Amino acid sequence: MCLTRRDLMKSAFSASVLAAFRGREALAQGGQEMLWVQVMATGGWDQLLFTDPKRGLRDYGTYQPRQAGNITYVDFPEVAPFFTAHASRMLVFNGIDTFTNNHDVGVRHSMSGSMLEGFPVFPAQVAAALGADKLLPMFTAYDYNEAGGLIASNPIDWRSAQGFAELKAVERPPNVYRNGPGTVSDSSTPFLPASLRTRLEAAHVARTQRLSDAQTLPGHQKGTAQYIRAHAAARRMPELDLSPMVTLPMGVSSASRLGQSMTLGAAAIDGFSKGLVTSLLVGLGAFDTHGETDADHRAQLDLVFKLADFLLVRAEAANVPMGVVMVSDFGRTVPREGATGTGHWPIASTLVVQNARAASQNRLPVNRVVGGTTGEAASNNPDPGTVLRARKVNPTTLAFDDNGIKITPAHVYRLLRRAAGVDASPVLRDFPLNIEGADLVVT
Amino acid sequence: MKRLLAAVLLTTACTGVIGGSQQPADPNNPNPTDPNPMTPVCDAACQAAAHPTSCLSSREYFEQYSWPQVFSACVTCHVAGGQADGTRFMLKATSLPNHYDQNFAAVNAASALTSNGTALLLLKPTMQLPHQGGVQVPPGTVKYAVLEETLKQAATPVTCGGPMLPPPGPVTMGVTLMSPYQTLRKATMVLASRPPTAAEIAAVDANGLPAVEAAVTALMNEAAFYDKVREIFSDVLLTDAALWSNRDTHGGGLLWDDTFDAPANNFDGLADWEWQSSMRGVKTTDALAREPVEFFVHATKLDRPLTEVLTADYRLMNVHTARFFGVPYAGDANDPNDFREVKVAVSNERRGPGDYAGILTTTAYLQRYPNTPTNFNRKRARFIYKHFLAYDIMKVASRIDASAIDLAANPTRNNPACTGCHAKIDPFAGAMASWTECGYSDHPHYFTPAEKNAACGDRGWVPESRSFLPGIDEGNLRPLTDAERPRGASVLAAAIVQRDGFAQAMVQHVAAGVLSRPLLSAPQDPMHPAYAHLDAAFEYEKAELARLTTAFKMNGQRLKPLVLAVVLSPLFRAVSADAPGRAELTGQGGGSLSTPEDLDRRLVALLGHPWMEIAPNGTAHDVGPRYLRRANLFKLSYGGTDQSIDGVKVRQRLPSSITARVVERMALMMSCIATARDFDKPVASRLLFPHVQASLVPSGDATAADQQPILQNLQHLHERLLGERLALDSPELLATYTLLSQARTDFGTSGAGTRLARPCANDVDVITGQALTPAGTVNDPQFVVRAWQTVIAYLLMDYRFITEQ
Repeated sequence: MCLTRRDLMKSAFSASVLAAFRGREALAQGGQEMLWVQVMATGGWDQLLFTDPKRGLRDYGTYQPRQAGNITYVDFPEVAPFFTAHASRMLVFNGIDTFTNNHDVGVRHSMSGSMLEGFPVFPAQVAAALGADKLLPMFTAYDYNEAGGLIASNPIDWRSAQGFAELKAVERPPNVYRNGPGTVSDSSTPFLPASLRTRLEAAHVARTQRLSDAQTLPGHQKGTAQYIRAHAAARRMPELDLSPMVTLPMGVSSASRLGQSMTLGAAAIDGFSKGLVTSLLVGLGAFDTHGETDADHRAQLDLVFKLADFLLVRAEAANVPMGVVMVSDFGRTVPREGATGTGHWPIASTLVVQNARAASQNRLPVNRVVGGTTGEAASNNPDPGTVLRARKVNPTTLAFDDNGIKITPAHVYRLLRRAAGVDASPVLRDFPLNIEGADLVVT
Repeated sequence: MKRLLAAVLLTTACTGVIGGSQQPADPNNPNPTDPNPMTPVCDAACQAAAHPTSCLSSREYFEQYSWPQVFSACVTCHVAGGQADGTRFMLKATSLPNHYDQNFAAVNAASALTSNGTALLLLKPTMQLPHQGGVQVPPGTVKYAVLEETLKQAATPVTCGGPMLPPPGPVTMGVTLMSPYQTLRKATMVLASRPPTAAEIAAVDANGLPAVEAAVTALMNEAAFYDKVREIFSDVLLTDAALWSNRDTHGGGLLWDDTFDAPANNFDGLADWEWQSSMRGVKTTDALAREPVEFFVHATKLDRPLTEVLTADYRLMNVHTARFFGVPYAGDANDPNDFREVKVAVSNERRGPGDYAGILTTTAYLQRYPNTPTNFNRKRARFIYKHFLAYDIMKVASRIDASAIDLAANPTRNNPACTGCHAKIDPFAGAMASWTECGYSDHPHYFTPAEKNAACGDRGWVPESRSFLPGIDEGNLRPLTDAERPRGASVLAAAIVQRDGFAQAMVQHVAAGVLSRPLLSAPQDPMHPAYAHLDAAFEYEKAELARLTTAFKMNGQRLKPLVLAVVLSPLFRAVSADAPGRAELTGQGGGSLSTPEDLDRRLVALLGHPWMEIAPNGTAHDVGPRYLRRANLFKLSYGGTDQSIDGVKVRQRLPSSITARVVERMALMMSCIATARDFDKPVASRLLFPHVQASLVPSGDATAADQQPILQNLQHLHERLLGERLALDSPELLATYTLLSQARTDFGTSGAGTRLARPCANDVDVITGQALTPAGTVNDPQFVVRAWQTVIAYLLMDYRFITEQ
């Protein structure tokens, strides 16, 4: 039979409608309406180069601070496209005090809201509360992926993804073409017939449950419970669409990293549509530019903004509401370190960017800046030592107030927990986000 | 009973509440009318000021009374960077958002420190014992009454109206330890990746724990044990990052011509980057990468104290590194794990005379923890503390108040908010000064004093105005002399091994490795409902580690006696509790996912076959074609690491869905490969089927006499693969028998032919891909082989098979 172009169109349309329907069905079944993503800018980004500019302290050249709605940014070519495209759906926190200039602590604090070791990062909090039983509760494409024991985080990168084809078809012997197809391994014949595999599965589940019921020590209780959950979730592995991942670029160059993060992110979006994924953790960059220049730092900003833009646009096209939380270890010192570089500074900025589908849910305000720092964006700052100190805010009015509170990562993540609908989740009972004073009221 | 207890506690908390109080003029002064000024008394008004009029929980009392009255003064000195930094009583800075919680916990912990039964927290600030801070809490004052009440509540916490959690039970009570057989089984699997031998089992069954000790002592000479030692310490040092197989995430090699000015082979005439990817370059890179962990293996093989890993005045080289440096090598040229002691002629290596310091001066360690243009070796210093002194600077002082920092005033040298940490790390960083060019990032090598002076202003290092002097103790307590500076690394190493922290560090690393899990951290949230339970678990583990440390030192700081002591400890041997849900038993017993390296070795030992790509094409794999060894197969998906800076550094200890899928793949594939091939062996050589032939059909009637060999074989499999010793009529064994019988029926009705599919059929060598002549079992007319194959898959997927027991 020869298919006409019309047939192909009909076929494609049917498939897309079916996929969309299944996606909505999966979302509804999961009770989740938004894919939360954390984009980690590794090393401590310099907010003076994008969303908290101060004149005279960085090499702005011919570029300058501008406004996109209420959002201030520096119109560097690496920065401006992202802000002009997404500022209308952006919530910016400036002047966040991370209380540290140490990478380990900064990463923990900025990604989880707590300085404590073992505290789960935000995507793990969301995943544990909304979808711990999914195939990939937190699609993990970043090396710091503390889950606090709430879920088992399983990092995926371009290397491990190469083995996924075999993991999707565990029932068949591998393809081996040495001496000709089938002469060593007959991949067309499953190891076990389907009916027996079902029986084996049932026997395995029953056995593990018996073991679990008999355990009395915490380690085995946790281990058996997690194995039962993981094994059940693993049944959906064949549904994971590997097509975005088969072309994962290799290596550690910036371009490779960006390409890897994009392709893994695309797979996560597809997985979310199918109800296989709850949240996404991804990260990029080499922002720890001590001995380098502002131009080097801008090149890193280019990477993370391109990644965030890609994810937001891709999710929008896939009908997936997405909220991207962009964080870094901390900020950078205003005074130069060495001739051109910068050091670690505890005061940081965080961007929460939604795509249109997410913004329409009105979970978070958009086009808004909360908090701020000392120093001037519009005029020169002759005394660098006084710049980029966190300014206190009234938690209710959000106006600057010397008697108010310092914004900490915990404030931000308490707000995000509320936005994600997980603030009252019992699974997060062991991981309270402590703040002094009142919560931020951001409406 | 609970209500009664709560009522008692409530009464206790509210004792001394007196209504209508009158405040004295100065409640913090002793009563001026007291006739005996030596024994001032807190009168009724004073007491009233120290106690609430309504019930407050202990935590609330701490925040509203204890902190403002007493501990807000203590924190000025007893804080990181403060004058009392390093004492046993340390508070957290008030800049920390949850400092009340953390300080509540700190005070509760410190309340247990006593002298002749009286809390030091009471004796010190009253100067009843010497206190550098003088009198801070005069007796007879409100402060004193508040302090007394705080200590009372530390012993008997108060809650107000809320449900009380049952207090944790004694951690050592109600816990059943493994039998000698179970202990043996776990020890052989963890330490040597194999089941116990028949002789070991017989000895243990006959003689109990002493036989376990003998067996464990003996197995610590096996090659697999030394692999385990390598893995334990590479997990600590993370120096495997530099293995060539990790080049894609590590991004840097070890063989650069500015690291080694004049290697004997001169890179075979190639550029350094080009030679690195040659076969010889790969092997040399891997040898250099493995050198740090080989110091532990070397000391263990020779039963020397582990202090030698730092004090060694030699390098460790295998045949490849020896060739690279052009030095004589007396070891096995075919064994890349045969490392020997070598000193390299200075002309062949950039190294100063006398500056060997074991691991500290290996290329891989220096490269993994590099200098940068601005950190001035501080990263190295931080990890030297962490790896060799059990001191994680990041846990001690992790927060700063930016508003109190003037970056122009050299805060790391002068600001108390910074010096708490920098007084510790900067001297060590300076001691390593000869291994970096001050202010430059470079490939690690030794810099002569002349080169140092050219690079930096103050005798080759950061000026004292900006940094504490190079030294071997805190601050400027013990700076290096000018004569010591060129060999500062070895002077530092010699000082480190003298400290208690070194032994503590070694014990912690070994315990974590043998217990197959990270050690417990002190719970940090006193509001956690199980805080007391988790704290009890932590304290118990800490006490066990202290006991092990004492034994370790008494045994000459040798690794093998330490490993044995861990194996015999309750932490390793706990197997069950008198009741489920006792959080205070966290950390006892097993439950961790095995490592991919362990599972890889165990499959070979238990089944006789490695899990590897079938008939690989023979490409130059640097780590071979084994599924659990290669990052681009299943090493990472099964929870492994590559240890590189941008890669995976922490092992996954809980099974994820991906892990479960890897397990299923392994079970289906290995059962296929191993079953027919085991049946084809002589009975005496079989690992899996010593009691049955493939002709014996499982009938489904387990009580039938002819089925007894099948039950015996199932008994054998449960013990061999899972360590379970089951009776022939146990429900578990019968459940497996039922599966066996039904599997045969399912195969028979599935339409499958009588011929086994490849690679299950034993007519091809799965490693070489070559046809076998003559072929082994290829037909299975009664589906018995495939039924057993199903049972093997069932057992290989088992929780007990993939986790540490």
